[in-house]
Amino acid sequence: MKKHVELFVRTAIARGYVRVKGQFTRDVNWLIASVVGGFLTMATYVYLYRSIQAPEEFSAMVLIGGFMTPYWLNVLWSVAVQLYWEKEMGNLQIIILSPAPLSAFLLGLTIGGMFQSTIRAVIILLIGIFVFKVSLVIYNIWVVVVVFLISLCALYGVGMMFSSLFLFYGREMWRVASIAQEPVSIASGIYFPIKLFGRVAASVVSLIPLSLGLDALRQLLLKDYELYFLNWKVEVLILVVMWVVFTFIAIRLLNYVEQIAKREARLTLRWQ
Amino acid sequence: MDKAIEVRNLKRVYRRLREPPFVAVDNMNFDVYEGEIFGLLGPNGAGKTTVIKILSTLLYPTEGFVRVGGFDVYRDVESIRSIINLVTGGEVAGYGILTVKESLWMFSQFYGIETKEALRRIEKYLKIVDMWDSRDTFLNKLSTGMVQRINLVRGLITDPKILFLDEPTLGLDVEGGRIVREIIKTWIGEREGRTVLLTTHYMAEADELCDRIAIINRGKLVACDTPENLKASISQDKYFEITVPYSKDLREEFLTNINGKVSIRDFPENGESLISLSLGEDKEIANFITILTQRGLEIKTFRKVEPTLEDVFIKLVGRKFEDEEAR
Repeated sequence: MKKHVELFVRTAIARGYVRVKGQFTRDVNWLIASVVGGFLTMATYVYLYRSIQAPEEFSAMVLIGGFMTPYWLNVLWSVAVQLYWEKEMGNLQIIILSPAPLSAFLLGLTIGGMFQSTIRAVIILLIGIFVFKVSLVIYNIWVVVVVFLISLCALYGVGMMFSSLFLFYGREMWRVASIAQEPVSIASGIYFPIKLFGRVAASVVSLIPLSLGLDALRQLLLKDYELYFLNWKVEVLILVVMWVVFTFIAIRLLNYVEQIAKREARLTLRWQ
Repeated sequence: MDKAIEVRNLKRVYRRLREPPFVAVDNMNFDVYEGEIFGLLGPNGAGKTTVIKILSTLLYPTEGFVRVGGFDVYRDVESIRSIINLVTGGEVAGYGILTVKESLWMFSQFYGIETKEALRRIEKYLKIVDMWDSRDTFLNKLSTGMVQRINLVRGLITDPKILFLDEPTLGLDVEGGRIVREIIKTWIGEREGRTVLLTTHYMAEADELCDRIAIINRGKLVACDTPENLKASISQDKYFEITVPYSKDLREEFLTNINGKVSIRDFPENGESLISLSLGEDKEIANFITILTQRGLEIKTFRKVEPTLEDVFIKLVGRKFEDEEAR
């Protein structure tokens, strides 16, 4: 058992290291581009709300949405797609034939991805606060941190779950993700409260952990925020359930996909 | 000797939508013993890679029974994975943003090797492959030959009991290939019980490296033995080549006096003739030499020619290796 745990941890750390190192070597231009891009999108919505004289809490709401956007993009393009890329690069078969669990590998690149995204997210947040003079209220930093981490865990659980599907369906799934990126961003309420959708539609989009995570964080960081969908404590509870369920499904899917891979020779061989 | 690998009635069929099933491996049987370098030799598309992927738990067999290190490839996957490694020729494993040392460390962690021990092994093997000075070079800055050597080190640092090498010298120049072959020979001789199974379509490589060779063609095993036995099996005759000064009369004279098969190729531009002899026994060559010297012909070169694995393949399959690849 101890050996298995040690192998799991070593694998996760080793794969996470690649992401962390990548942040400080290759990714400087990417970092600048994504920060500028994220900031400009955020600025568009802030100026839009200000031009129609919306309450100032809307600008703060956008800021929190802008802060969470890098995580969502990271989940979609660096976690969900990653196993597919590993296959294309020829690494997947090396990983699969090692004793390391694929879930540990995925966890490693997830944690590394969180680290990468945090740098972008924090820079965007700080620039936003500085440029737009938006104020956030932190009543209890630890509660905010815990809610934020639970949101991330549920969100990255979705990424881990989708990584198997991306691997299985390859390029087709990649196109679906391209098409889905913007609608999902809108449905998650990155730049407006999902309460505006109405109860039924808001319930549906709440299946995306980003939606509930954002709603909960906004309740904790904005003074007298009344546009929330559900009480943040309920939302956190749902997010915890999502985290557990998505992670469970992700691990089961990984095992299933590996069986299919070996039976049909579809996944580890690049040309198949 | 204990069996490292047991293959019985192995069959692998690839099925595709709207395409007829393709039988990549058909009713294959062979054993590999501990301590052996065992070669799967065959032209491209013969089914070598499919076999190695089944043995390394990357593919399920469609039919048959396969044990690796005493474990079933279907049921005991985890046990097999902890005692094997696979290196594929031409692969570019790892990430360009990592250095050679970092990359090897990363792969060692997938086998749960303690960092201190991993770094010790990395240093040892990088020195053996003469790449210690490149340890801090990024992977995307390495030449093909260097990448191949790093791949091999990746396979060795986990200290596998059974090492699978799929075309390990593919795309390497002569010197690169020689270095890789030397490393394999050194590694297997370092400790008892290590086994190597390699696939190759280079006959000379199989001949030089392997204790035993399985020749496969179109998914079927056509022969399995030591290189010497395989070559001996195709002919009892002894072959010799002798170079003498060019002479117009040479052909008639020897065809009438020699008991055996003789062919003569003239190279008047070089002033030489090449006599190829096929004799029933080695001792008959003495008579032939006597006749040459009696006639005052100077022997410029003399060598005994062994049949090659290419000859074995032609004899068994009825076609040349390249012809089979081109089909």
